[in-house]
Amino acid sequence: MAQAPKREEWGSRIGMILAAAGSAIGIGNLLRFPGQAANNGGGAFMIPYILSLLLFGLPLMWIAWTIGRMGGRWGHGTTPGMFDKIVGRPWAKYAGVIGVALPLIFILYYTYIEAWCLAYSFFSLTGKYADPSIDLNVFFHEFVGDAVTAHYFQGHTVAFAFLAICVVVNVWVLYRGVSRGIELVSKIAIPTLLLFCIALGVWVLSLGGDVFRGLDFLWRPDLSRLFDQATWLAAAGQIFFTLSLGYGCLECFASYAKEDEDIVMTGLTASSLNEFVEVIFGSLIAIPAAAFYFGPERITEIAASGTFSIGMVSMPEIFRGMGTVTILGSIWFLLLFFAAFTSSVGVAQPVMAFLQDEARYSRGQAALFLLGAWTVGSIPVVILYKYGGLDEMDFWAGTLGLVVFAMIEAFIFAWILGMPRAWEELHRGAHLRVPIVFRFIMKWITPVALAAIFAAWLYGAVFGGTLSAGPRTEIGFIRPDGLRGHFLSRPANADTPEGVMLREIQEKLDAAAEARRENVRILYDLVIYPQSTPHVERIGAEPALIEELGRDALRNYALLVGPAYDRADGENLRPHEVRMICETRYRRTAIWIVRAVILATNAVFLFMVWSIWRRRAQEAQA
Amino acid sequence: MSPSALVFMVTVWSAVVALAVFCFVQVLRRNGKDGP
Repeated sequence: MAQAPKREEWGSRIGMILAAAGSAIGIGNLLRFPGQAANNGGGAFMIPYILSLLLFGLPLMWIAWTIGRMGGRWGHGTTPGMFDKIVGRPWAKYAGVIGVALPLIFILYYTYIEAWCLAYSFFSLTGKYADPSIDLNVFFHEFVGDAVTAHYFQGHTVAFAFLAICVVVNVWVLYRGVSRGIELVSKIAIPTLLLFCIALGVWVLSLGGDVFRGLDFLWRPDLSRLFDQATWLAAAGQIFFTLSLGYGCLECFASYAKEDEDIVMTGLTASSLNEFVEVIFGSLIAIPAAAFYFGPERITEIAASGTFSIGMVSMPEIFRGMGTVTILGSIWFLLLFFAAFTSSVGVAQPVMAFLQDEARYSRGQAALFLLGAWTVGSIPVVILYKYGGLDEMDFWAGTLGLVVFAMIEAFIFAWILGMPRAWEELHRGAHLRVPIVFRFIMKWITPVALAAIFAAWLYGAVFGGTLSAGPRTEIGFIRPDGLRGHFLSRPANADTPEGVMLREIQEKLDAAAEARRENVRILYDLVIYPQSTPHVERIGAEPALIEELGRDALRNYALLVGPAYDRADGENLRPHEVRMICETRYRRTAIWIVRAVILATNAVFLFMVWSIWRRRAQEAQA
Repeated sequence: MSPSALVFMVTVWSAVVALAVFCFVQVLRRNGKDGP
C-alpha cells in the first residue's frame, strides 16, 4: 500500500458547517419528526425534545468534535486511532471499530431509502403515478419489493437500478475527497434543500383552511403525555437520529478541521441548522398538507402510519389529487433525496478515512473497496426487505449501536481524557464559552441518560418483541379483469370475538410457516358484493395446510382480514371477482443472514485493526 | 388553531430561528478572519 498521504482539510468554515449539517439533516427531519411529535403529546413533546437536545444532543456533538479534532492532530480520522491515542490501552482501538463498522452498515440500508426518493423524483417528473387509478400504497410496496402482487413493478429491477445510481454517485463524491467532494456537494445541496423547504412551506400555508387544523394537531400540547416514559424515550431517540450522533461521522469531519478551529460554534451552528429544518419545515409540510387534503379526521391515522407511509404514500396522493405531481411531487422527492444524499455521503466518510489513514490505501483504492462493500452489502438489503431485513439493520446499527458507541465515547471523554483536559480541548480556538453547567452535564448526566436509554431500548427489544424473527403476513389483491381498485383492509378489533378468532388463526399460520421453514401462501378467489360480506369462491393452498388449519378457519380468515372494496373505476355497484393472496413469511433465515452481515462487517474491521496495529508494532520494533 | 398550540409553536419556532440566526451571524462575522 502507498505511504500515508498528507491529510486533507476543509476548504472553508462555512463548507465544513454545511457538511456537518448535511450529514445531520435527513429524511427523519421531514418525516420522522412530525410523526413522533404528533404521536407523543404534540407541543408537549417539545419539552423532552429540547431537554434531550441540551442534556445529550449538544454535549455529544461537542464531545464528537473535540475527540475528532484531537484525532486529526495525530493523523487519525476515525475512532479506532482516536480512542487508541486518548486511552492508550489495547481495548480502546477495538471499541473504536464501532465508529467505522456502524457507518458502513448504516449506509447499506440508508442508501436503499435514498434510492426510493430518487426513483420517486423520476416517477414524479415522468408522471408515473399520476393516474388516479393507481393505488399508491400497493405502488410503493411493489417498488420496494414488499408486496405479494406485481401490478406496477416486476421484481426488484427498477429499485436496483436507482440503488446502483445512488451508490455510484455517493462513491464518486467520496472519491473526490473532503473539500472537492462532500464540501462542494453540501454547498450546493443544503441551500437547494432550504429553497425547496421554503417553496413547499409557502405552498402549504397558501392552502389555508384545514392546514391550520393540521398545525393545531401537531402543536396542541397534551401535557399528560409528559408522565409517560415512552414520550421521553421517543424525544431522546429523535434527538439521537436527527443529529447523526454516535456514527463516528462527526469525529471524522472534525479530524479535517484546523487545530484552532472554533468547534464550539461549528457544532452549535450545524445543530441549529438541523433543528431549523426539523422543527420548522418538519412540522410545516407533511402533516398540515395531509390535514388539508385528507381532512382533519384522518390526520391521526396518517400521523401514526409511519415515516415511509407519510412520505411515499400520503404525500404523492396529495400532489396527485391537486394535480401537481410533476412540479411539487418532484420538489418534494428531490428535497428528500438531497437530505438523504448529504447524510449518506457524510456517514460513509469514516470508512474512507479509515482505509486511507489506517490501512494506508490510496483514495482510489479506498473508493474501490467501499464501492465493492457497498454493492455487495446492498444486495441482501433489497432482497431481504420483505422479511424485515432493513428494520433489523436499523435496529442494530441505527438504534442500539448508536447508543453503545455514544456511551463509550462519553465515558472516554469525561472519565479517561478527564474533564479538565477535555474542557480545555473543547475550547481551543473557541470564541464562545460553553456554559459551565455543561461540564457537569457531560460528566454525569449524559452518560447516565445514555445508559438509561440503552437499558430501556434493550428491555423493549428483549421483552417487546423487537428481536423476534417471527413470521409476518402480507396480503395483496388482484382483479382478474385487470381493473384496479382500492381495497381497504379491515382487520377485526383485537378485543372482539372476531379479533380473538383472527389472532388464533394467525398464530396457526405462523406456526405452519415456522414448521415448514418457508413461506406459506394461500390464494382466495372472492366475489365482492358492494356493502356486503364477500363470498369465498375458492381457497387455494397446500392440501396439508388446509387439513391442518381447517377449511372453515381459512374461510373465516379471508372474511376477517378480507377486503372492503372501496372504488373501482365507477363500477362499484356490480359484484366482481377478486383474488386475494395471503403470504405468511418465514423470516428466521433472512434475519440471521442480516445479523451475519452485521457481525461480518464488525469482524472485518476488527481484524483489520488487529493486523494494522500488529504491523505497526513490528515496524516500530524493527 | 388553539391558543396553546399557537403559543407552543411560535415559542419553539422563534427559539430555533433565533439560535440559527445567532450562530450564522457569528460564523459569517468571523469567516475568513480565523477560519481554516
